[in-house]
Amino acid sequence: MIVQNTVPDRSMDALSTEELDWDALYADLAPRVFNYFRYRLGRETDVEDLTARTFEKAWRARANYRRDLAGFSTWLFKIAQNVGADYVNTWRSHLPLEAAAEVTTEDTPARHAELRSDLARLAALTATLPARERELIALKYGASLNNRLIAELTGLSESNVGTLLHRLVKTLRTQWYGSDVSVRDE
Amino acid sequence: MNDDDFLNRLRKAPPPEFLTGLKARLDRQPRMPPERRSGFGRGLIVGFLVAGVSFAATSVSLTGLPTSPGRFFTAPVEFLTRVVTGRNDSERDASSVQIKAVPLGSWLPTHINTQPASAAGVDRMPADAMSSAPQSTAGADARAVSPGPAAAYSTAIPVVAQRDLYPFAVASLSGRSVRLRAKDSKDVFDGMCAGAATSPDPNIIETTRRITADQRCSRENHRREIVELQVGYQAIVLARSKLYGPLNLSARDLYLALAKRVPNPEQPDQLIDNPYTTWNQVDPALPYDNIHVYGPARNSPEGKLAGALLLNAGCNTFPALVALRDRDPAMLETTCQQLRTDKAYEEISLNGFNYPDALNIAPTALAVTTLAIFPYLQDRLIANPIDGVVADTATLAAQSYPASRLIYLYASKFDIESSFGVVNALMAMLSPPPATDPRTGASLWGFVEAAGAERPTTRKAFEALETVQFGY
Repeated sequence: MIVQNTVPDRSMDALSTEELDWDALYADLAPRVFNYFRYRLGRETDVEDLTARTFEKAWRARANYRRDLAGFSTWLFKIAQNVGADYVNTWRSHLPLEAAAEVTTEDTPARHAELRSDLARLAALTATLPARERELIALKYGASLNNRLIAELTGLSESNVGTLLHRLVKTLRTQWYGSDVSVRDE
Repeated sequence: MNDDDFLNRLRKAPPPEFLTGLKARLDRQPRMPPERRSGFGRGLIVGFLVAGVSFAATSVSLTGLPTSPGRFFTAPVEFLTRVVTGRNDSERDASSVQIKAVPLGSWLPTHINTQPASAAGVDRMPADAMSSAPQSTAGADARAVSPGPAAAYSTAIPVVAQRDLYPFAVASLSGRSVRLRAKDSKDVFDGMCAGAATSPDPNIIETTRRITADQRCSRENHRREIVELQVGYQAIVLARSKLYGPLNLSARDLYLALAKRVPNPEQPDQLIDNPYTTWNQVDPALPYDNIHVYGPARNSPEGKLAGALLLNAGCNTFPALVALRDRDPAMLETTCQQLRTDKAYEEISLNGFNYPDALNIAPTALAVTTLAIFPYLQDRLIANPIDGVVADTATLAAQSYPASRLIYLYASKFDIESSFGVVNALMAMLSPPPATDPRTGASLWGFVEAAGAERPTTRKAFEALETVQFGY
């Protein structure tokens, strides 16, 4: 099964709990949670485990999910944030950073190696950023969430999220490409 | 090309077998039964009770205090009768008690209900649905690293970390039952030989100072057999623009160029404020260029590490300064690690400093960075050698690169064999720490894992380690 990242479907969030298509939700959200952890950790190791933990916690309790209180995506990513926080504070990998073995039928080994090295590069550049900024990058570009949902998850205002992300991207782009790329203000 | 393409293209699809396997596991999970939604019913009951109590209190307060239990129950009826029939005070029996407004407080119970609300028949409002999202346990785990009360000595593993390695130790040991203390490097081995297995003296020591025979325990001491493990390295790279080529720098040159206090050339056993402003003043073989090094803020953890790594090796080339070690170890550390405070060392923000642009327009400048960052700069910058040695994993392992140091772990065989906690703590400290200290958010800047170093993963493997040979 090949799963592509998709734009969040608002119509799905508008349905009542009984009407939610859990299989479709899983297909949509699992890759986004997976990439959220990749961006947040800056590596491939442990990402699958954290993704699995997030869904295991959410899936058992989905019957109690109160649609009138929060969108399902927000709820799931709150769980992911807690799983990530618990991991960082209490759980350690004994494997070197490059130990994860990736098997995919889509990527060539060269493309695969390039992805891993770029991810490590992003991790090196964001290592000096505050935790809030790293979280914003992971939610925006890993999880593909819009600014409204990011604002709900981080407690920031939507306009603040937009401003912070704009500055972050500008800084990271300069560091990524050096000064050869002209900066286009949005 | 969009502005954020470089971030978007890092996403990838999860492995298909992972997705299908996880879905299968999720579908096999037993589903929690939905919570019974009786909020409306409960609300209705509460509403009736509140209304009833209010009506009774109001009616009795207007008709007067009941003089008997029977009056208590007939008062509301009398009130309603009065309202419906319109009888007023003048029609009342002259012998009846004057109607007075009774404070509502007289009807409130005089005892405190110690039972929970549900037992009294009034349920709580439905809990917040977000309570189904599990809360992080991070706060409780972080506290486990702090020094605890005396009662913790019996179970918490005592660990001593060299003061500037404290963030590493915290990051590695978070969530474990340890009693972690920071000490100056000259004091880290204090107490290593003392006490019994449950003594508060350290079971584990993390330091960049290699143990010597001076620290060995007596032959009879149960802790005399010490194992030595390598956690990793701390290293910095001096970057310079490719346009201008490397400077032929030695560790001694770096110390004289960047230390706050340097030996007086006229009287080498005395220290003076650094007078040097050009490289050729430090070493005549170097060019007549201004000394200019960009680096992290002096008082930041990164700046203090940079100071130690840039200056220590060169400081040790001065016999007078080495002699200080015996007389005043604290002064030696200060002298050999404090960076000068003038423009020769210029502070930068590690977040956002554009190394290539800054160095390309500054022909004489160098910049401090790390081995993790430098690979992404090497298309335009070079790593300046020190003592002819360039920083890489081989030179770190050989300990030939001056601006680096090894982080050691020490523990006694006795403690390893008698405590699972010691073994678990050692394994945690040998694991690569995260890029960021989760407690403070500070980056563990400059750390390089020791490739090929021994990393036992079982207690037996730890027990099989060779011990340091002190030559008793």
